Amino acid sequence: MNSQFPELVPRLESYATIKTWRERHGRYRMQGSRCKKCNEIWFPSRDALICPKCQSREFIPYECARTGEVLTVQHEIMGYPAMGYGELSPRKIVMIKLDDGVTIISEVVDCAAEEVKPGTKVKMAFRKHKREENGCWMYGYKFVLNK
Amino acid sequence: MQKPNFKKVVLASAAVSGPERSVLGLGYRQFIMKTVLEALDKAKLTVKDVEVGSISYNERNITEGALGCVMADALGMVPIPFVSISQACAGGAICSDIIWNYLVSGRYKIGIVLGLNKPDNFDFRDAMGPIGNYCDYDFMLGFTHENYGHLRSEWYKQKYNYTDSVAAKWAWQCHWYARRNPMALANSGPMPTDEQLNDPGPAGYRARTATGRNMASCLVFVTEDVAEKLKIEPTYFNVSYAHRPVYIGNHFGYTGDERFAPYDMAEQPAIKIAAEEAYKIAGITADKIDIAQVHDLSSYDGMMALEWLGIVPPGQGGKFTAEGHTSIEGKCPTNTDGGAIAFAHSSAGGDFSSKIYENWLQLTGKAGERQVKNPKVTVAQAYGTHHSLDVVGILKK
Ligand SMILES: [Zn+2]
Repeated sequence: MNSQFPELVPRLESYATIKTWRERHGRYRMQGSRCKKCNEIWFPSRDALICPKCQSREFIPYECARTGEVLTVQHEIMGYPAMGYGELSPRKIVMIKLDDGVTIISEVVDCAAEEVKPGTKVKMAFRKHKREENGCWMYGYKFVLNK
Repeated sequence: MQKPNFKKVVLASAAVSGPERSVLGLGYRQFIMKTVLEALDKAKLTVKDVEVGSISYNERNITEGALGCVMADALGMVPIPFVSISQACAGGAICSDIIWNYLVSGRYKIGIVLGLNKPDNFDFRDAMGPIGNYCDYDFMLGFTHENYGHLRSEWYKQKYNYTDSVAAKWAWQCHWYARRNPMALANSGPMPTDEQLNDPGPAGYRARTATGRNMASCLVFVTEDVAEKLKIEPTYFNVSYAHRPVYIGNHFGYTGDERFAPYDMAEQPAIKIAAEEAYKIAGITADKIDIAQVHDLSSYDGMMALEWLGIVPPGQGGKFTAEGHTSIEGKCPTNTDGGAIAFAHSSAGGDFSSKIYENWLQLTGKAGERQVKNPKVTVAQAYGTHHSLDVVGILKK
């Protein structure tokens, strides 16, 4: 679905919107897990899974640091945007080392491409993403420059 | 891992489909028939001789929930066991591992491994996004396996201070081999120019990165005694695989297993784990390897593979490539079929099996113009879903 074809097209491989809802805490606040037994932090959340370090299944919610540094950047100019992201292309896709040591994949917005380099300081921002399969807008984390 | 006391497994024969980019007139069952029959025929076997089968596919382009059942039926092999595996690009290796286990245990003596990739079976753009092992916050937030690959390449270059000229050299070498391989997608046409391969824009990136193709592949494995009966020159097969976390952020200092903790996205410890086991079972060491087929979805992926297979030290893959050691006269001729860049990338259809096929041609002296002189030990490496699955297969005389 995009501006050219605004009607919903039934697709076999569509995610149910319930999935988007289930994962809202991670998407809105970068909420992962902290293992109650060994204290290790995990992102994405390992809630209801097993801690790879100590095999415990008891976790408490953990919100990742909201500031960090760009490790490496891809200027997405290849012409293969992900479904639902075509109008946002080209995106500045990055690996970020957060200040608490967690590494994530995300994108940097609201700046020029040349402002995003290895070592650039960034902070989390709450932004509109794509439309869910039911047509509602999905929101979640992106990053902006932390000047 | 104990060195098992088992029957030796021989690759009796292999076949891959031709380089046609599109096979629109055939459904996937019809498409794979020619390849299966060709492989069996080369080994002087028929469908009735096969005791166990397996097939690797990607359920994003073959929308079947039980492909093993479909293939046993299509091949007229009912009621033999037929296992289907959907484990991305390296799925063929998992199928090979299953058949290897059936044969080494002595339970069966003749098994086939099929691979099938037919993206024209499914709307490509729709299929593209979800292909891979994406977990909570990557695919959903608009990051695909192409972003993973591109970021890994950028990190590798940055970490070891390489420029795209080494990737251009890698891609050029792949094209050199492909021009000498009639089964390669890039078998004809002029060689790419230095200017094209070093282009800093999207065209250059594509030239240094994999291109896709349809693929049907078939490997025929038998136990050593059957090979002897069939008067087959034995090439012995062993395989191993290991996993890495699915989320790309966890490829930096993963604390879930101490073997991964020191490493980052440009390092491939799961290849090392798989390689060590495969080498041990096969009774070889990395320095004995004469030919390598590695999974180069980007040229840098190929270099990383050479490093973590133990063929060159970490960080030296780019230098090794630039110095020409992957060429037919080099220290380790690499991707002699043309690799994912010029033979082309077929995911579950052949990204592992086509490499085994090429190594088999090389070991049996049937590689024509790209024949490496007298190889004895070959390695094939493939990854699935961005190194959350890493496999290593050894084929040797
Ligand atoms: Zn724990």
